[in-house]
Amino acid sequence: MADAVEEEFHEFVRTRLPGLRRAAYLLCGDWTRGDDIVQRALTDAYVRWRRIRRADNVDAYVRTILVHRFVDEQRRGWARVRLLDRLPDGPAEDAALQGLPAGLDLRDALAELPPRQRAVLVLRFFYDMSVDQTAEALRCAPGTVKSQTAAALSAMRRRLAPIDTGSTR
Amino acid sequence: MNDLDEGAVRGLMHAGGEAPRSRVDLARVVADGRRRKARRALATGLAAAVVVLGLTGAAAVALRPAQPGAGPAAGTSGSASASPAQTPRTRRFAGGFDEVLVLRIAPGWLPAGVRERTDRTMWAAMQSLSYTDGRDKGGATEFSITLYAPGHLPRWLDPATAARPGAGLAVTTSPAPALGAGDARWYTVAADPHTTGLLWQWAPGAWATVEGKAPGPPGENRAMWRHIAERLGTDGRRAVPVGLTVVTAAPVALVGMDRGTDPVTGGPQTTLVLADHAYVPPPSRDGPGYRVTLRPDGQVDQGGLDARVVAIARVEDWTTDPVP
Repeated sequence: MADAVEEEFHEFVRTRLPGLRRAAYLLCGDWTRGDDIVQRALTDAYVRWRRIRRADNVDAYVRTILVHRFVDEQRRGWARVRLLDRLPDGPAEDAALQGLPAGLDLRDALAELPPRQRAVLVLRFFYDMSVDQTAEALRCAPGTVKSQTAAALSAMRRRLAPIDTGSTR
Repeated sequence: MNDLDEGAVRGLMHAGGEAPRSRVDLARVVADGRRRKARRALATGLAAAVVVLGLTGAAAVALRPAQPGAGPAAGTSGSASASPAQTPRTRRFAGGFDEVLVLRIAPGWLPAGVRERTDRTMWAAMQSLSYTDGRDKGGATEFSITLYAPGHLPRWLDPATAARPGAGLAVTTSPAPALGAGDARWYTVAADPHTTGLLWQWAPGAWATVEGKAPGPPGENRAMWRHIAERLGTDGRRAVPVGLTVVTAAPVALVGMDRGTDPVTGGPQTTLVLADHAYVPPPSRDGPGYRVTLRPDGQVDQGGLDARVVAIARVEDWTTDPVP
């Protein structure tokens, strides 16, 4: 890759890395795994960078790669590992959820959604992409994005509903 | 939260504190990307060469005289077919993990403060990564994650090796809660009771272990091994290139790579193991298979193999396909 083009890629990574990492974390619920996904997605992007840099929306292109990397990884192997019990994550992971109301664990709520629904929510509400843009990124119909969004929000409402402690009786 | 709407989800997604330190390695992104581009260019070139050879062959057949037994047409001598030396060789494969130099092990969680050792053991039959927190031996946390290819067993489970007198492989086991694709077992190495581990199947018939020592009580260590196991990815694609190529006509394939330290100079040393079957006992220096070693001073020990061995100076040019 010519120096200028390579430098452009480096600059892109430098400025977008925090957002990509956060998106990957929201997708998979784990910073370490998320970083692995970002690493692979950026490698894909590097290989195709000459084409990507000419795209109308470079960010959307790379986000699409990231989401497909995540969905592909879910399909290929991670889903085989069954989590039976969980130890608390390290302090870094907990810190990421500071500021949320007590009892709300977005990571857990997202983790219970199917990968495609998680991807829809991240593209729609983390990246503020429109229904059409999300559909294009996920290679599906806009109607599918709408129905997946509704199903995901409904599942999250159930998951995030406060536990009735009896205090209102 | 029945009033959870799109705005609330948007807020939740952007909420949160500082992210932990990034593990994304831009230098590795570039190095891996360059290797992939080089491989793709090579594949494209080979495909083009095959097309050209095919067209040349077809033309030669078309131009061949009609009479049986007639000689080649004038001007086509020697060009109708490639010589054996030019014939592209099909990739040899001895079973197990293929490609050998791609790490499937992708830890999803590790204890705080541990780092990966630079030593590598990657075999067609199994691959292993070691970790340490760098403390003194007595209070150190040291462990290894090992993934066995489907059909291959840890040595102490394999009747062919475990029962061998003096093998020192005896372990005591006890049931552990199921994990992955089936039953799991806790184990303790008989010769070193401080070394404990967890054995489970990462896929049906394919075993994995997390084994090591840590200063905590046994129950705490078991919980740690289990947490590592639960979060272990087994479909990583991390390339581990090496700095040498081995060209040989021998009917062998790459079945292993050991990256360690030269006991004399302390410098890094890489050994490739070539054999015609996937399983070669990793710790064995005198087992079956040829061992080609690149020493820290650039000298090569071909281990008795008739081959042309070339060291690659620039790290960026190292390869994951050293036995083409």
